[in-house]
Amino acid sequence: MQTEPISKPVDDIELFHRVRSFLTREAELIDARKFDDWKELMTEDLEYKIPVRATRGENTHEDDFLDMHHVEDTKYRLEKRINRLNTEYSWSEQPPSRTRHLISNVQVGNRDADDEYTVKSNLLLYVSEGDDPDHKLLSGRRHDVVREVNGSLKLARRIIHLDNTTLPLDRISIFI
Amino acid sequence: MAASEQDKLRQQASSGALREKANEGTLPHNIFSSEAFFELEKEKIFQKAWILLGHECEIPDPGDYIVRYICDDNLIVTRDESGEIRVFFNECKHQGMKVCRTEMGNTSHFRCPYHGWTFANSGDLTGVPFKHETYDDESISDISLDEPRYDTYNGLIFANLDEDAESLKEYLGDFTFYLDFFVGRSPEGMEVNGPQRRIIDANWKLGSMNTMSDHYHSVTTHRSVSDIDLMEHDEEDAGIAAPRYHVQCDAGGLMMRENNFFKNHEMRDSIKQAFSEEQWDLVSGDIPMGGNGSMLPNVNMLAARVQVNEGESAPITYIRTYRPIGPDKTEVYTWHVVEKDAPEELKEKSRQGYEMAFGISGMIEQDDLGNWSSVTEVGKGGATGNHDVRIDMHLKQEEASDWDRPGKAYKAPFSEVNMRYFYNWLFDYLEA
Ligand code: FES
Ligand SMILES: [Fe+2]
Repeated sequence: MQTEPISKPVDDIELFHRVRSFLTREAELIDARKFDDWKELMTEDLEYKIPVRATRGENTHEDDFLDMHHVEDTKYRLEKRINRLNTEYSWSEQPPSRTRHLISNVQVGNRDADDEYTVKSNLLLYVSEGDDPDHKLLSGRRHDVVREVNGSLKLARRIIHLDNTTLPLDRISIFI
Repeated sequence: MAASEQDKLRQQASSGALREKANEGTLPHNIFSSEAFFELEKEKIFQKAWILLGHECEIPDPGDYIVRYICDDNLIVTRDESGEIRVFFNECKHQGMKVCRTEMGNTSHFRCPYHGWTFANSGDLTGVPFKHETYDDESISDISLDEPRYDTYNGLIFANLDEDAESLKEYLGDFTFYLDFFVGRSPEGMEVNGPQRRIIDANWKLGSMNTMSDHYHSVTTHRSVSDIDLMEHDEEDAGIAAPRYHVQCDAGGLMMRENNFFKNHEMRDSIKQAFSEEQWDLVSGDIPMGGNGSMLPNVNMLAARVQVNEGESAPITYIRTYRPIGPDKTEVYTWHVVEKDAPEELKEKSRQGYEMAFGISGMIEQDDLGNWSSVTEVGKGGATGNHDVRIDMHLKQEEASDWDRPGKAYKAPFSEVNMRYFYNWLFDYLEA
C-alpha cells in the first residue's frame, strides 16, 4: 500500500513548493546536526521506520520486508537518540559522521485527511567518517506523511525502504 | 605483516605457546588481524565446531528456506515436503554454481541457472535437461545435494562441517542449562524476528569475548545509555559495580548477576513451566539472576529490560552471530527472540525495545562497534601488531565456592576470566 504510486498528485504548485522546501529544510537540519531543531519538525504521534528488506523468492518486489526494523522510532524514542547524542559519551558519533542527504523525485498527493499529504521521495545518503577517504552510500525510497499543524508543516510518518538487504554500515548512529 | 611473522603466529597457536601466553594474561595484538591466524581459525574452528545458522521459526512451512553461511561455505536450510528440516550445500552437483541465489523464500525445488539441473527440496536431483542426449541413466542416478551434519537445539539450527565431530548435545554439554535462559523460555517454544544483517570491519572474536566476559567496558562505552535511562532501573539493583558471577560451562560462558528480568517478566508463569526446578530457582530465588553471554565460538545472547515507551519497559532478548569473512571483516546477524506464547502486544514492544537498544541502530550496540573495529585496525600495525593486549584482570582469583550450578564461576564486578576461558576453548581446537 505504501509503495503505490500517488494517484491524486496535488495540482497546487504553491503547496508542492512548500512541501519541497520542508523536505530540504529538514534534510539541512540533519546534515548540520541541529537535531534539537530537527525534532521540532516532527508531530507528537510520529512514526519513523526503516524495515529490514529481504531478497526473498524468485521475484523480489518493492514490498519484500521482514517483520523487523533497523529503526522503529516514535517521538519518545527519537528524543532518546537525540538526548544520547547530546551526552558526552555518544562514542559512535565521536567524531561526528558527515552526512549529505540528497532528496529527489518528490511526489505530493492529497490524503483522505485534508490536513495531511502523502509525500514520496528518493534518498541518496552520503556518509563520510573521520579521515577515511572512502564513503558509505545508502539509497532508498521514503514514504512520508506530512501534516499541517498551526500553519506549518510537520512530519507525521516516515517509512524508509532502503535498497540494501545487508547494510554496508557497521551501525546506524546517524539519522537516515 | 610479513609472511614469516604470520607463520610464527600460526606455529605458536598450534604448539601451545599462545595458550600459555593467554593464561598468563596477554594476547599478541595481531591475533585480531593476522591472515594466517584467520586461515587457521577457519580450518580448525569453523570447519569443526557447531555453527549457528538460524531458527526453526524462520522456515515454518514445507518448502520454506533460508540461505546462510559458515565462513565462505553457503548453505540452504529448508523444510522439506515432509516437514523435516534439511541443510544442503548451495552447490550444484554438476559444475558447482549456486542453485539458490536469494536469501529466503519458499520453493519445492531449486533449479540451477547454468545448465538447468533441478533438485527437489529433499536434495535429490529430479531434472536434467536433455537427459537422454547427455548421460546414461546410471551416471546420474542417486545424485543429491551434499549435506553437512546438522541438528537443532530449542529451535536453533546448527551445522557442523566435520563428519567426525561430536554430537551437538555433547558439544553444548551443560551450557544448555544457561542457553535456555535465552532460547528456552516457553513450553511452546520461542520465535525470532530478523535477522538484521550488516558488515563490520572487526575481527569476529571481539564480540564473543566481549559479550561473555567484558562488563568492564559498560562503564565507559555505554555511559550514554545510563545517562539517558534507556534500560529499566531496578530499585534493588546494586548498581553497575555490583559483583557478578563469571560463569564458565562447557561450550559457553556468561555473566550472571542479581537482576529482575525473570522476576518481573510478563510471561513468568509459563517460563517457570519451561524451566527445570534448578533453572527456575537460579533466576527467581532469593537472589534472582539474569545476564548475558556467548556460546562458543561465535553466538552472543543477552536478556534485559528496555524503557521502550514513556514509563513503560519491555523484556528483550537477542541472539547475535558472526560470520567471519576476513580477519578484519565480519558479517553480523542479529535476531530478536521472544516467547511464542506472549501476547502480540508484548511481542511488538519487545521487538521495539530490542531495535532501540541492540541491533544495528541500537543505542547500546552502536557504541560497541567502533571499539571492535579499532582494536582490529591497530592490530594490523607493523609495530603494534606485535605488541600485547591484556586479558589479565583477576588472573589469580580463586573459583567462587558458593556457585553450586553447572560449570564454575568467579565472583567479581569486573573480570577477564571468561576471556581466558574463551581462548582456552579456542586453543583446544587450534592445537588439535
Ligand atoms: S552447474 Fe548447475 S547445471 Fe551445470
Ligand atoms: Fe557493549
